[in-house]
Amino acid sequence: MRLAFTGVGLFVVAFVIHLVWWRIKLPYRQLPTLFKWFLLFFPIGFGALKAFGFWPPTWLLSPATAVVALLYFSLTITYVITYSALEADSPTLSLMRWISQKPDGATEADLESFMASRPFFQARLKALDVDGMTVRREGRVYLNGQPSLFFRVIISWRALYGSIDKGG
Amino acid sequence: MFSTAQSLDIAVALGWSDWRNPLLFVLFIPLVGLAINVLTQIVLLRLAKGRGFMKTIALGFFTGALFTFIAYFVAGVIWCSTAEDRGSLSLLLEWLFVIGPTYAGLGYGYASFANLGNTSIRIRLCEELRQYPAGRPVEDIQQQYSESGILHLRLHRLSEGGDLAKLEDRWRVNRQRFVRIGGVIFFAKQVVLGRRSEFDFH
Repeated sequence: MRLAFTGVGLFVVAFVIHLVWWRIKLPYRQLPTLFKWFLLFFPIGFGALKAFGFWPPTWLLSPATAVVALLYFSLTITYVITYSALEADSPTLSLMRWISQKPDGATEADLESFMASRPFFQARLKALDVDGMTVRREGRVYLNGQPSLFFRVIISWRALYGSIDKGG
Repeated sequence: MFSTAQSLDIAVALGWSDWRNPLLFVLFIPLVGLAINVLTQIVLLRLAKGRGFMKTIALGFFTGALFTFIAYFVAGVIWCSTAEDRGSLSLLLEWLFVIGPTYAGLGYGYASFANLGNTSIRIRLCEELRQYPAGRPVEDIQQQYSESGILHLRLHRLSEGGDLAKLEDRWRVNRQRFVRIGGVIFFAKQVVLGRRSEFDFH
Protein backbone atom coordinates (compact mmCIF):
# COMPACT_ATOMS: atom_id res chain seq x y z
CA MET A 1 0.00 0.00 0.00
CA ARG A 2 3.03 2.25 -0.34
CA LEU A 3 1.70 4.45 -3.16
CA ALA A 4 -1.76 4.85 -1.64
CA PHE A 5 -0.39 5.57 1.85
CA THR A 6 2.14 8.09 0.53
CA GLY A 7 -0.44 10.06 -1.48
CA VAL A 8 -3.13 9.97 1.20
CA GLY A 9 -0.60 10.51 4.02
CA LEU A 10 0.85 13.65 2.41
CA PHE A 11 -2.67 14.99 1.90
CA VAL A 12 -3.65 14.26 5.51
CA VAL A 13 -0.55 16.04 6.89
CA ALA A 14 -1.20 19.09 4.66
CA PHE A 15 -4.85 19.04 5.74
CA VAL A 16 -4.09 18.88 9.47
CA ILE A 17 -1.59 21.76 9.24
CA HIS A 18 -4.18 23.81 7.32
CA LEU A 19 -6.82 23.01 9.95
CA VAL A 20 -4.57 24.22 12.80
CA TRP A 21 -3.57 27.31 10.80
CA TRP A 22 -7.20 28.20 10.02
CA ARG A 23 -8.34 27.74 13.63
CA ILE A 24 -5.55 30.07 14.77
CA LYS A 25 -6.21 32.73 12.15
CA LEU A 26 -8.32 32.74 8.99
CA PRO A 27 -6.36 34.06 5.98
CA TYR A 28 -7.77 37.17 4.33
CA ARG A 29 -8.11 35.43 0.94
CA GLN A 30 -8.98 31.92 2.07
CA LEU A 31 -9.39 29.95 -1.15
CA PRO A 32 -6.27 31.14 -3.01
CA THR A 33 -4.21 30.70 0.18
CA LEU A 34 -5.56 27.18 0.67
CA PHE A 35 -4.81 26.17 -2.93
CA LYS A 36 -1.28 27.59 -2.80
CA TRP A 37 -0.65 25.81 0.51
CA PHE A 38 -1.60 22.39 -0.86
CA LEU A 39 0.47 23.00 -4.03
CA LEU A 40 3.47 24.09 -2.00
CA PHE A 41 3.21 21.25 0.48
CA PHE A 42 3.66 18.52 -2.12
CA PRO A 43 7.35 19.19 -2.93
CA ILE A 44 8.01 19.97 0.76
CA GLY A 45 6.41 16.68 1.82
CA PHE A 46 8.26 14.69 -0.80
CA GLY A 47 11.52 16.35 0.18
CA ALA A 48 10.89 15.27 3.78
CA LEU A 49 10.03 11.70 2.73
CA LYS A 50 13.25 11.52 0.71
CA ALA A 51 15.33 13.05 3.51
CA PHE A 52 14.02 10.50 6.03
CA GLY A 53 14.54 7.60 3.63
CA PHE A 54 10.86 6.81 3.05
CA TRP A 55 11.11 7.45 -0.70
CA PRO A 56 14.16 6.16 -2.64
CA PRO A 57 15.94 8.97 -4.55
CA THR A 58 15.92 6.86 -7.72
CA TRP A 59 12.10 6.84 -7.61
CA LEU A 60 11.74 10.63 -7.65
CA LEU A 61 11.33 10.99 -11.42
CA SER A 62 9.62 7.64 -11.91
CA PRO A 63 5.95 6.90 -12.73
CA ALA A 64 5.55 5.91 -9.04
CA THR A 65 6.00 9.57 -8.02
CA ALA A 66 3.58 10.65 -10.77
CA VAL A 67 0.98 8.18 -9.45
CA VAL A 68 1.37 9.56 -5.92
CA ALA A 69 1.18 13.14 -7.28
CA LEU A 70 -2.01 12.37 -9.19
CA LEU A 71 -3.63 10.86 -6.09
CA TYR A 72 -2.50 13.80 -3.91
CA PHE A 73 -3.75 16.42 -6.40
CA SER A 74 -7.07 14.68 -7.00
CA LEU A 75 -7.66 14.77 -3.22
CA THR A 76 -6.53 18.40 -3.18
CA ILE A 77 -8.95 19.34 -5.99
CA THR A 78 -11.74 17.56 -4.12
CA TYR A 79 -11.03 19.42 -0.92
CA VAL A 80 -10.41 22.86 -2.44
CA ILE A 81 -13.66 22.71 -4.41
CA THR A 82 -15.53 21.52 -1.33
CA TYR A 83 -13.93 24.35 0.62
CA SER A 84 -15.52 26.92 -1.70
CA ALA A 85 -18.85 25.62 -0.35
CA LEU A 86 -17.56 25.93 3.22
CA GLU A 87 -16.25 29.46 2.82
CA ALA A 88 -19.51 30.85 1.46
CA ASP A 89 -23.01 29.55 2.19
CA SER A 90 -24.76 28.00 -0.79
CA PRO A 91 -28.22 29.56 -1.29
CA THR A 92 -29.50 26.21 -2.60
CA LEU A 93 -28.25 24.13 0.34
CA SER A 94 -29.28 26.74 2.91
CA LEU A 95 -32.75 26.87 1.41
CA MET A 96 -33.14 23.08 1.30
CA ARG A 97 -32.00 22.64 4.89
CA TRP A 98 -34.26 25.40 6.11
CA ILE A 99 -37.33 24.00 4.32
CA SER A 100 -36.50 20.49 5.60
CA GLN A 101 -36.79 21.83 9.16
CA LYS A 102 -40.41 22.90 8.51
CA PRO A 103 -42.65 19.82 8.87
CA ASP A 104 -45.60 21.69 7.30
CA GLY A 105 -43.56 23.15 4.47
CA ALA A 106 -42.95 26.84 3.78
CA THR A 107 -44.99 29.50 2.01
CA GLU A 108 -43.48 31.91 -0.53
CA ALA A 109 -43.64 34.63 2.15
CA ASP A 110 -41.66 32.43 4.59
CA LEU A 111 -39.05 31.80 1.91
CA GLU A 112 -38.78 35.49 0.97
CA SER A 113 -38.29 36.32 4.64
CA PHE A 114 -35.58 33.64 5.01
CA MET A 115 -33.71 34.91 1.94
CA ALA A 116 -33.96 38.52 3.16
CA SER A 117 -32.20 37.45 6.37
CA ARG A 118 -29.27 36.10 4.32
CA PRO A 119 -27.79 38.71 1.97
CA PHE A 120 -26.10 36.16 -0.33
CA PHE A 121 -25.58 38.56 -3.19
CA GLN A 122 -24.01 41.31 -1.06
CA ALA A 123 -21.64 38.71 0.40
CA ARG A 124 -20.60 37.52 -3.10
CA LEU A 125 -20.09 41.06 -4.36
CA LYS A 126 -17.87 41.77 -1.36
CA ALA A 127 -15.94 38.51 -1.96
CA LEU A 128 -15.27 39.55 -5.58
CA ASP A 129 -13.88 42.87 -4.33
CA VAL A 130 -11.73 41.12 -1.71
CA ASP A 131 -10.39 38.65 -4.31
CA GLY A 132 -9.51 41.59 -6.56
CA MET A 133 -11.77 40.41 -9.39
CA THR A 134 -13.94 43.53 -9.34
CA VAL A 135 -13.50 47.17 -8.36
CA ARG A 136 -16.11 49.76 -7.42
CA ARG A 137 -15.79 53.39 -8.49
CA GLU A 138 -18.42 56.11 -8.23
CA GLY A 139 -21.33 53.75 -7.74
CA ARG A 140 -20.32 51.41 -10.61
CA VAL A 141 -18.83 47.92 -10.54
CA TYR A 142 -16.06 47.04 -13.01
CA LEU A 143 -14.30 43.80 -13.82
CA ASN A 144 -10.73 44.30 -12.62
CA GLY A 145 -8.44 43.61 -15.59
CA GLN A 146 -8.22 40.32 -17.44
CA PRO A 147 -10.30 37.54 -15.81
CA SER A 148 -8.32 34.73 -14.18
CA LEU A 149 -7.43 31.56 -16.08
CA PHE A 150 -9.85 29.52 -13.94
CA PHE A 151 -12.66 31.93 -14.77
CA ARG A 152 -11.90 31.81 -18.51
CA VAL A 153 -11.78 28.00 -18.45
CA ILE A 154 -15.11 27.72 -16.66
CA ILE A 155 -16.79 30.21 -19.04
CA SER A 156 -15.40 28.40 -22.12
CA TRP A 157 -16.56 25.07 -20.77
CA ARG A 158 -20.01 26.47 -20.00
CA ALA A 159 -20.29 27.78 -23.57
CA LEU A 160 -20.09 24.18 -24.82
CA TYR A 161 -23.68 23.56 -23.87
CA GLY A 162 -25.43 26.88 -23.71
CA SER A 163 -25.57 30.42 -22.43
CA ILE A 164 -25.42 31.38 -18.77
CA ASP A 165 -28.64 32.45 -17.03
CA LYS A 166 -28.72 36.10 -16.05
CA GLY A 167 -29.68 37.27 -12.59
CA GLY A 168 -30.49 35.31 -9.43
CA MET B 1 5.70 -15.04 -6.39
CA PHE B 2 7.22 -11.64 -5.66
CA SER B 3 6.22 -9.54 -2.67
CA THR B 4 4.35 -6.28 -3.25
CA ALA B 5 7.52 -4.29 -2.55
CA GLN B 6 9.49 -6.33 -5.08
CA SER B 7 6.70 -5.98 -7.64
CA LEU B 8 6.75 -2.21 -7.13
CA ASP B 9 10.55 -2.17 -7.58
CA ILE B 10 10.19 -4.08 -10.85
CA ALA B 11 7.48 -1.70 -12.05
CA VAL B 12 9.57 1.38 -11.16
CA ALA B 13 12.57 -0.13 -12.98
CA LEU B 14 10.53 -0.43 -16.19
CA GLY B 15 10.43 3.40 -16.28
CA TRP B 16 8.38 5.69 -18.51
CA SER B 17 9.16 4.19 -21.90
CA ASP B 18 8.08 0.57 -21.36
CA TRP B 19 4.35 0.34 -22.09
CA ARG B 20 4.14 -2.85 -19.99
CA ASN B 21 4.84 -0.81 -16.86
CA PRO B 22 1.68 -1.23 -14.74
CA LEU B 23 2.29 2.12 -13.06
CA LEU B 24 1.55 3.80 -16.39
CA PHE B 25 -1.85 2.09 -16.37
CA VAL B 26 -2.44 3.15 -12.78
CA LEU B 27 -1.52 6.70 -13.81
CA PHE B 28 -3.52 6.97 -17.02
CA ILE B 29 -6.64 4.85 -16.32
CA PRO B 30 -8.26 7.46 -13.99
CA LEU B 31 -7.35 10.25 -16.44
CA VAL B 32 -8.96 8.42 -19.37
CA GLY B 33 -11.92 7.65 -17.06
CA LEU B 34 -12.24 11.38 -16.39
CA ALA B 35 -12.12 12.18 -20.11
CA ILE B 36 -14.92 9.67 -20.74
CA ASN B 37 -16.90 11.18 -17.86
CA VAL B 38 -16.59 14.72 -19.30
CA LEU B 39 -17.39 13.70 -22.88
CA THR B 40 -20.42 11.64 -21.82
CA GLN B 41 -21.79 14.47 -19.69
CA ILE B 42 -21.41 17.12 -22.39
CA VAL B 43 -22.88 14.91 -25.14
CA LEU B 44 -25.85 13.91 -22.95
CA LEU B 45 -26.49 17.51 -21.96
CA ARG B 46 -26.40 18.68 -25.55
CA LEU B 47 -28.75 15.86 -26.58
CA ALA B 48 -31.12 16.83 -23.76
CA LYS B 49 -30.88 20.51 -24.85
CA GLY B 50 -29.57 21.63 -21.48
CA ARG B 51 -32.22 19.87 -19.37
CA GLY B 52 -31.59 17.38 -16.55
CA PHE B 53 -28.16 18.77 -15.66
CA MET B 54 -27.70 16.72 -12.48
CA LYS B 55 -28.68 13.50 -14.24
CA THR B 56 -26.03 14.08 -16.93
CA ILE B 57 -23.45 14.72 -14.21
CA ALA B 58 -24.34 11.42 -12.50
CA LEU B 59 -24.41 9.44 -15.76
CA GLY B 60 -21.08 10.90 -16.86
CA PHE B 61 -19.52 10.02 -13.50
CA PHE B 62 -20.78 6.43 -13.58
CA THR B 63 -19.73 5.89 -17.22
CA GLY B 64 -16.20 7.07 -16.38
CA ALA B 65 -16.19 4.89 -13.23
CA LEU B 66 -17.31 1.85 -15.21
CA PHE B 67 -14.48 2.31 -17.71
CA THR B 68 -11.98 2.89 -14.89
CA PHE B 69 -12.82 -0.32 -13.05
CA ILE B 70 -13.08 -2.51 -16.15
CA ALA B 71 -9.72 -1.17 -17.38
CA TYR B 72 -8.23 -1.70 -13.90
CA PHE B 73 -9.43 -5.30 -13.81
CA VAL B 74 -8.15 -6.09 -17.32
CA ALA B 75 -4.76 -4.45 -16.66
CA GLY B 76 -4.51 -6.30 -13.33
CA VAL B 77 -5.26 -9.68 -14.84
CA ILE B 78 -2.72 -9.13 -17.61
CA TRP B 79 -0.02 -8.01 -15.15
CA CYS B 80 -0.60 -10.88 -12.71
CA SER B 81 -0.75 -13.56 -15.38
CA THR B 82 2.51 -12.76 -17.15
CA ALA B 83 5.04 -15.56 -17.50
CA GLU B 84 7.43 -13.98 -14.99
CA ASP B 85 4.70 -14.01 -12.32
CA ARG B 86 5.60 -10.48 -11.30
CA GLY B 87 2.37 -9.64 -9.59
CA SER B 88 0.47 -10.45 -6.46
CA LEU B 89 -3.03 -9.95 -5.18
CA SER B 90 -1.87 -7.37 -2.67
CA LEU B 91 -0.40 -5.32 -5.51
CA LEU B 92 -3.77 -5.45 -7.27
CA LEU B 93 -5.40 -4.24 -4.08
CA GLU B 94 -2.88 -1.42 -3.85
CA TRP B 95 -3.78 -0.30 -7.37
CA LEU B 96 -7.43 -0.28 -6.40
CA PHE B 97 -6.68 1.99 -3.44
CA VAL B 98 -4.87 4.37 -5.79
CA ILE B 99 -7.12 4.25 -8.84
CA GLY B 100 -10.42 4.35 -6.88
CA PRO B 101 -9.80 7.53 -4.84
CA THR B 102 -8.00 9.20 -7.77
CA TYR B 103 -10.94 8.70 -10.15
CA ALA B 104 -13.44 9.60 -7.41
CA GLY B 105 -11.50 12.82 -6.67
CA LEU B 106 -11.19 13.81 -10.31
CA GLY B 107 -14.84 12.94 -11.00
CA TYR B 108 -16.06 14.89 -7.99
CA GLY B 109 -13.82 17.80 -9.00
CA TYR B 110 -15.33 17.85 -12.48
CA ALA B 111 -18.90 17.59 -11.15
CA SER B 112 -18.29 20.53 -8.81
CA PHE B 113 -16.55 22.52 -11.56
CA ALA B 114 -19.50 21.94 -13.91
CA ASN B 115 -21.98 22.83 -11.19
CA LEU B 116 -20.03 25.98 -10.38
CA GLY B 117 -20.36 27.17 -13.98
CA ASN B 118 -24.06 26.50 -13.76
CA THR B 119 -25.02 27.97 -10.40
CA SER B 120 -22.27 30.23 -9.01
CA ILE B 121 -23.43 33.80 -8.55
CA ARG B 122 -19.83 35.02 -8.69
CA ILE B 123 -19.10 33.31 -12.02
CA ARG B 124 -22.31 34.57 -13.63
CA LEU B 125 -21.77 38.09 -12.33
CA CYS B 126 -18.20 38.19 -13.68
CA GLU B 127 -19.39 36.95 -17.07
CA GLU B 128 -21.95 39.72 -17.19
CA LEU B 129 -19.48 42.39 -16.10
CA ARG B 130 -17.16 41.26 -18.89
CA GLN B 131 -19.80 42.49 -21.33
CA TYR B 132 -19.81 45.97 -19.73
CA PRO B 133 -16.35 47.54 -20.13
CA ALA B 134 -17.74 50.82 -18.74
CA GLY B 135 -18.95 49.02 -15.60
CA ARG B 136 -22.50 48.63 -14.28
CA PRO B 137 -24.27 50.70 -11.65
CA VAL B 138 -24.46 48.85 -8.33
CA GLU B 139 -28.24 49.47 -8.17
CA ASP B 140 -28.81 47.72 -11.53
CA ILE B 141 -26.90 44.68 -10.39
CA GLN B 142 -28.68 44.61 -7.05
CA GLN B 143 -32.02 44.74 -8.82
CA GLN B 144 -31.04 41.89 -11.15
CA TYR B 145 -29.62 39.78 -8.32
CA SER B 146 -32.27 40.54 -5.73
CA GLU B 147 -32.77 38.01 -2.95
CA SER B 148 -36.18 37.34 -4.49
CA GLY B 149 -34.57 36.61 -7.89
CA ILE B 150 -32.05 34.28 -6.25
CA LEU B 151 -34.91 32.51 -4.49
CA HIS B 152 -37.12 32.03 -7.55
CA LEU B 153 -34.32 30.78 -9.79
CA ARG B 154 -33.49 28.14 -7.16
CA LEU B 155 -37.11 27.17 -6.60
CA HIS B 156 -37.42 26.65 -10.36
CA ARG B 157 -34.23 24.54 -10.56
CA LEU B 158 -35.03 22.49 -7.46
CA SER B 159 -38.61 21.75 -8.46
CA GLU B 160 -37.52 20.85 -12.00
CA GLY B 161 -34.99 18.43 -10.52
CA GLY B 162 -37.63 16.88 -8.22
CA ASP B 163 -35.94 18.07 -5.02
CA LEU B 164 -38.77 20.40 -3.99
CA ALA B 165 -42.50 20.16 -4.56
CA LYS B 166 -45.23 22.74 -4.11
CA LEU B 167 -48.37 21.33 -2.50
CA GLU B 168 -51.30 23.54 -1.50
CA ASP B 169 -49.18 26.70 -1.76
CA ARG B 170 -46.46 25.31 0.52
CA TRP B 171 -42.99 24.24 -0.57
CA ARG B 172 -41.83 20.89 0.81
CA VAL B 173 -38.71 18.78 0.42
CA ASN B 174 -39.42 16.00 -2.03
CA ARG B 175 -35.98 14.40 -2.18
CA GLN B 176 -33.41 14.48 0.62
CA ARG B 177 -30.11 14.52 -1.34
CA PHE B 178 -29.37 18.25 -0.96
CA VAL B 179 -30.49 18.20 2.68
CA ARG B 180 -27.93 15.45 3.39
CA ILE B 181 -25.19 17.23 1.42
CA GLY B 182 -26.07 20.42 3.33
CA GLY B 183 -25.79 18.56 6.65
CA VAL B 184 -22.27 17.37 5.77
CA ILE B 185 -21.23 20.84 4.56
CA PHE B 186 -22.56 22.59 7.69
CA PHE B 187 -20.79 20.04 9.91
CA ALA B 188 -17.55 20.56 7.97
CA LYS B 189 -17.94 24.35 8.34
CA GLN B 190 -18.14 23.90 12.08
CA VAL B 191 -14.95 21.80 12.13
CA VAL B 192 -12.85 23.92 9.75
CA LEU B 193 -14.13 27.45 10.33
CA GLY B 194 -15.69 27.13 13.79
CA ARG B 195 -19.06 28.46 12.57
CA ARG B 196 -22.06 26.98 10.76
CA SER B 197 -22.82 29.86 8.42
CA GLU B 198 -21.14 32.93 6.93
CA PHE B 199 -24.11 34.88 8.35
CA ASP B 200 -23.59 33.62 11.92
CA PHE B 201 -22.60 37.09 13.04
CA HIS B 202 -26.10 38.41 12.20
